Amino acid sequence: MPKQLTLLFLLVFSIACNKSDSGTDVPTDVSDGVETTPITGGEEVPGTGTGTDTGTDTGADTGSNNGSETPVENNTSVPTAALTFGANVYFVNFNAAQEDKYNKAIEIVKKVVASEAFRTKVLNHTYEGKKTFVDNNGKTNAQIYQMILDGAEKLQPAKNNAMDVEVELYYAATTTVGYTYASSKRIWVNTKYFNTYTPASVAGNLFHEWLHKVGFGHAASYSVSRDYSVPYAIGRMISTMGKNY
Amino acid sequence: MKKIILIMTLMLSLGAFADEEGVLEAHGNPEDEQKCFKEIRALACGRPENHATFISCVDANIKKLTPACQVFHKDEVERMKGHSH
Repeated sequence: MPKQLTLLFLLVFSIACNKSDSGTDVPTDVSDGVETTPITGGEEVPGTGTGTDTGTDTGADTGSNNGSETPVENNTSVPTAALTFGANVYFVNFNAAQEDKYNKAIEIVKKVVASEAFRTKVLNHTYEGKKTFVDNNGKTNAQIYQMILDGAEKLQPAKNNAMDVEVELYYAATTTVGYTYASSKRIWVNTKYFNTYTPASVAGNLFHEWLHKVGFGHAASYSVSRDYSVPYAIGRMISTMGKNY
Repeated sequence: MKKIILIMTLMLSLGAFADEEGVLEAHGNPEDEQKCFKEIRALACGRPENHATFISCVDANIKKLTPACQVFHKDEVERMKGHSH
């Protein structure tokens, strides 16, 4: 009996130790609960260049400041980091048209973040007469603005002045537009909505989900205050202002 | 010794097979949210922060919502529980 127990213990111990980590840097294609590593022949790790199209997975690096040494001329009142704000987005389950739409959304995000109007809106956001966001993790509006420009996510805390996300498309007949897990770099977007969204709406959804990755949450209820949380309020700024681009 | 191994095995089993995905954050389409939140708040079910009471009240009055918002509300309740996407 002790032998059997010992063997069982060793088996369970080895399962526990070999469980994969969903927050690894190497992207994986998760479909139907089965994880597969991407084809490595000629395909680059996301964030370092454009990945090859394998039919289902593509990597796209749209970051504007990955090691760039070229100084940016800044004749505006926004910080230079607003002008150089970039995005490293890894696509999963996108076709060419969907990727094109998402890339347009990313460009909209960059243009809005680079604008003085966005900076003004974030710094002056008010809730119940106070310049603040709801569920702000103790941060002032100015600190939240700086956190956006820093581009540091909870799972990738390096300040690289860029959004770093993986985006996977899926279909569900529910009213859920998208979801993410606190322990994952990936955001899932429902094509029931994505396929009819404008790039500006996609931009708003992307930024909302990315702000979750930065560490901001919101009430999980019908409370009025939810609209004044960082993901909701700033996501809405992106989609509203994005209509101008 | 047998008891120690058994307890450790049980503890490791819980850890090995536990869901490590973390908190699920899901939400509905913003347009649906705006429209349906308005309908739901018009039911005058008190403060949404009193979650259980509020949801029970909405459930009891769900027929007063438009069909689309009835569906939205059911999905939203599942999203609030961290179950649905």
